Amino acid sequence: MAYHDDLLRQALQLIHKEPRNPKQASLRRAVSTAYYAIFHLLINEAVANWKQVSLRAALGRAFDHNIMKAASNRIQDTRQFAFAGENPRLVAALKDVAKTFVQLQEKRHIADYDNTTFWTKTEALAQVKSAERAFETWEPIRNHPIAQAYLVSLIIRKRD
Amino acid sequence: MAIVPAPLVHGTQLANKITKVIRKLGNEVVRVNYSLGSDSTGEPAIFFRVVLTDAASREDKLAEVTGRIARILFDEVRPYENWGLLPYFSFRSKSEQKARNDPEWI
Repeated sequence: MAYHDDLLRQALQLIHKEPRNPKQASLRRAVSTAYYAIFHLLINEAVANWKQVSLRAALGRAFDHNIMKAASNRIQDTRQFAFAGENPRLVAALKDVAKTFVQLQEKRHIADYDNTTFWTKTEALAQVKSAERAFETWEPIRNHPIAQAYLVSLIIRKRD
Repeated sequence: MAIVPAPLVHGTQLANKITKVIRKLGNEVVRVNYSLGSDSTGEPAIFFRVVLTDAASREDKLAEVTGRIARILFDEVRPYENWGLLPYFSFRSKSEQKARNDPEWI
């Protein structure tokens, strides 16, 4: 099983680690792990296009959280990306994956650093489930040209 | 369904739009609150806090319910395109909020 799949599974395990009275540590680690699941899924998918397999992991190190966030936000803006002529359902699916990435990145930041925020089980589970849904959404669109273009955009810093 | 408007930093236009969209969210939603601020990278953001019925918060329903609610708020309010705000969503069950009674969720 791939690393990102293991991370997603681990996030769900953390949610259910203490069924009756979940510890904040478990819920917060679950949210953080869910973010890293989608982070590594997208990187894994992007570097899979690199012909030399032994260099894919090294290429994966080039990805930057902020650049990935900016790219994921850009495709939400129809003024920048109209996706003219594309299947609307496909575009919506891609946008859902990108939105989930941005959402989870922010939640990871709160989960990892903000001790003032209390997480309920539903709050944490909703984030983990959104990652799970993004995995499912990604699978059937992963080879489509607009999904592949999105993967490339994740590594490109936009120049003004 | 109770609706609690947030401070109207962006004026009444945004608040009115959100209020209209909240009405479309259905019976699974107990309450929606929101606030404006900056996210962890300093970008302007809107933080939605949605209290769900306990039935809608069940694990087998949660992904579908939260995905649908977030999509409606995103697609109809268009916070990023129309207001330059990155939307973020948090969901609690009614019983969790009752136990916590956190003021920003009321």
